Amino acid sequence: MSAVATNRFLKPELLARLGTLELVARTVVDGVITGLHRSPDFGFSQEFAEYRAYNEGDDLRFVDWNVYARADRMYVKRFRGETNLSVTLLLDVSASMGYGEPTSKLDQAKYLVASLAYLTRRQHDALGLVLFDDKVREYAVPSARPDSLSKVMGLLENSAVGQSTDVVDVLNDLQSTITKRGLLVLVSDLYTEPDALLSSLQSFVHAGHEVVLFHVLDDQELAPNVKKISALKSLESGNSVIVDPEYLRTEYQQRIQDHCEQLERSSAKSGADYVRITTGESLDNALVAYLQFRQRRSR
Amino acid sequence: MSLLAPLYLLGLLGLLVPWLLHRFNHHEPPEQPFPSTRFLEQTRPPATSKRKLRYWPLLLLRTLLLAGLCFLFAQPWLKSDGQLNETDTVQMLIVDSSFSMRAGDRWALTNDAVNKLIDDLPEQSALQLLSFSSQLSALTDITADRASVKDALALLEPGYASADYGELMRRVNKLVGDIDKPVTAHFITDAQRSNLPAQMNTLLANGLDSFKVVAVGSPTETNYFLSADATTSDNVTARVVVNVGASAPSTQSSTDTVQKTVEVFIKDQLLASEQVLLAPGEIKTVQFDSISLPSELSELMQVKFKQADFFSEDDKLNIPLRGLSQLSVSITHVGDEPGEQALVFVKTALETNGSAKVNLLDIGAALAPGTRHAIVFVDDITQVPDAVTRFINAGGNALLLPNRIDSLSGSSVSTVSPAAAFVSRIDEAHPLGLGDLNWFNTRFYDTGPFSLQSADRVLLGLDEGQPLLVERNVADNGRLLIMNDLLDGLDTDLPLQPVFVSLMQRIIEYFDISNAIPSKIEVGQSLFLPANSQLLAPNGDAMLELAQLGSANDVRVDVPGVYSVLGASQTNNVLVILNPAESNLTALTRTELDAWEARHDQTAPSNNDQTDNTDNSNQSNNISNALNSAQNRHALWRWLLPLVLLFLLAESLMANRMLWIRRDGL
Repeated sequence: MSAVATNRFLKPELLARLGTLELVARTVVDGVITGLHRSPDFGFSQEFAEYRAYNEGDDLRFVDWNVYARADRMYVKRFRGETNLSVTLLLDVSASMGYGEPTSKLDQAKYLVASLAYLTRRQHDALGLVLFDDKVREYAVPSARPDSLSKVMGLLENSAVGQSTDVVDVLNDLQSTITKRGLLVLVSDLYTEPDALLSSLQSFVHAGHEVVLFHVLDDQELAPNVKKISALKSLESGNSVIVDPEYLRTEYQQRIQDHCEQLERSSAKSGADYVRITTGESLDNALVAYLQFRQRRSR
Repeated sequence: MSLLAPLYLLGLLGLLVPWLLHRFNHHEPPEQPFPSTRFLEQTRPPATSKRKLRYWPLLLLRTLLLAGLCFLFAQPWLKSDGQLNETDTVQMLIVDSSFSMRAGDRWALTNDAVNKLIDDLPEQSALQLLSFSSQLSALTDITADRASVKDALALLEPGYASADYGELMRRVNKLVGDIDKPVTAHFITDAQRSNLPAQMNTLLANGLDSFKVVAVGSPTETNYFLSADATTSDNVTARVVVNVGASAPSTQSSTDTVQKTVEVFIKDQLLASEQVLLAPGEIKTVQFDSISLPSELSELMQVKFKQADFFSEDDKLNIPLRGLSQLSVSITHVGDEPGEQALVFVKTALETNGSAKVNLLDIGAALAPGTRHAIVFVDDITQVPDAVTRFINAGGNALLLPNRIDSLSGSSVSTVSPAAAFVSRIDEAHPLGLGDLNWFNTRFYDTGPFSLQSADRVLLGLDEGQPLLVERNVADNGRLLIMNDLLDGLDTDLPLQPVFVSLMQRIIEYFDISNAIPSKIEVGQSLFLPANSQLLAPNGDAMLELAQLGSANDVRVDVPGVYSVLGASQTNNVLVILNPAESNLTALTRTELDAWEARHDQTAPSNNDQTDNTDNSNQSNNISNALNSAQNRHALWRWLLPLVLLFLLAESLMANRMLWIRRDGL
């Protein structure tokens, strides 16, 4: 995929100037789609997939009359998009997601989720949304109704940072709630044990779900620019830890890098896709990665 | 190294402060939000030994800074390695030229002593010759030319002024402050005990490197001296009080009393004499209560011993006969003749006790330039005549009195009170001192209205509100008083009351006080002369140049005798007398002089000072010893101050960095 080279790179701070999340999503998605080269391998639900024998009740609009004329049998065209994929977007709104300036991780995650939601509805898939921190705060059941996008956008607009996070518990809870197989998109800073997360993800995968992890981080989180010894106060627990800048420059960065790699490995093990984005970068890469994932799935 | 103010070293206790700060001060590091502490690890506090090691430079700098400041305040100094040669020191030769040096052969001995001193000093020594009596005068510049110093000495003669050793040391100290070399002062004097100051602490010149007293002419004989005062109240008899004394010789060869005869003369006519027995060191008072004065009075009397001693210049003195001087007052009128009663009352009041001499003159003579004080009867006291105004402007003083009752108000109707009015308003702040007089029972029956002007000051007022005595500011030179009373004894009984005499005499004294010239001063003092006055010395020589006559002058008189002050209007005699203390030749002992010297000698123990052996004096000696060595010491503040500033700068720079770490790490 070399298509990303021509994408418009809309920085989050620029997106923040746009009025609504829907507008953000349209801007991002249209920009990404427009920049992509047309590719025969890259299809959407409108593209032809196969013929199926006409059954009573099928929409006569999809009957291939040319085939009927030649074969005297009625076949119905099937399109890929008509698989009615259920996409559930899981957004972490815990307190730690409020970190980052000028664009917080939550803002960046909202832009991403909104874009994904818009993209989902563009493909006429069923769209659902879960907002959670240590438990599920909002849950919009996946729906293919036209107003599902606006509903999701409304929830996103009104969402705010909550309490501490517990992704594993939330995923475990959702296993009994999200029964219809589909695509789960988890957007979080993933401060959890990779092994526990692996276990949870595997449960979803085994249940027939496909899972994509968007790991949202702030640049300062990856490489803190702290020049003097400071008390770093956790946004979630409120605990302070006095940290030496030297430690932040060396061991901390190594630790969080290891954590990210471990998450990536766990995702791979469980069959989930792992994408890391930071608050300072545009969403293009994330969306392209998502589309690639959808492409792989469609094969 | 020595310290001038070692007490400041107590400030070293302040070193505890940075130590405590380094020991106990903990700063909380700044707090920053962070998404999660999952991957953070608490920084381990540095081990104690590491922390001490880490902040030692800052603590050391702070310690050095405070210690440097303490030492800076303590004023450390080092004695110069190379001792100054005597040729590097200015040798100041101060010769006592007071009146006592005229006694016997003291002056010759002084000359010999100074010449010997000059010869004994090393070649190329820097010398300066000074004389001291009431003032310190440099006779030469600082020079190595001994001949010029000796020449200046040969020209020096003792005067008549008195000396004060405390004043000498003060002036020497001031003079030494302008010399950038160490100064050794040699004081050649007769060391009179009577010249000692009231406060012994003033016998110290801090700026001197060394002080030596060369005592000459220790008295072997007793000098008898006297001082006197003569007064008369009636010009018929006089009261003369004579203080006689005998100085104590240094060698107590004879303690026997000596009979001396005190005689009082006036114009070489012996008026009285009395014998008195005097022992050495004794002072007695001889009082002549009622000496009959001759018909031809003189302002001067002579008091002397019948038998002159070896110091004859203080055995005879002239004294003024106080009470003889009379003020001349002119009485005149503008317009109608004054009433005869008022004229008699005023003249009698002024001439009572002989305090004033009254002349009845016409207007031209009375207000002539030579007249100082005048009483002018006018028709209308609300209108000051031009002649009187000119008289005031010329420096004269005048009292305006009304000569007609119908002229008082300026109207045809006078105010006649059915009842008597009394004095109810007195300006007690005025120099006339009218509040001291007894105005009780002084009645005023008829007074005219008086319109006050802005420059008027009411000195006396009646209970009806009428001003009785007013001072009008016409000119700065003279004074003008206006009395709103006829003084005829009918409309008022003021001239019949005793207070009237006091009032008139006080008015004349008030007029005269602005032109007052003292009748007696001591040799060496200054006489203030008003403008247009000339001072004639006892020998008749004018003491002021022509160019000096236009302004007021301060003239110092150095020779005793009768001086004449010639003014524009009158002549005053001023008697310049000797200071009796100069006649008391009792000398200080050598031990006392050694103690005086020791106060300026940094190598001498301070307990040698026997003249003033209090703790304070010992302490001041220690300080003065240190100060005296100013020329031989190197003050260390020149090096210490930049060092302290350097420490301060380094501490600031280092603290900026270290405090960061401290805040972060502790």
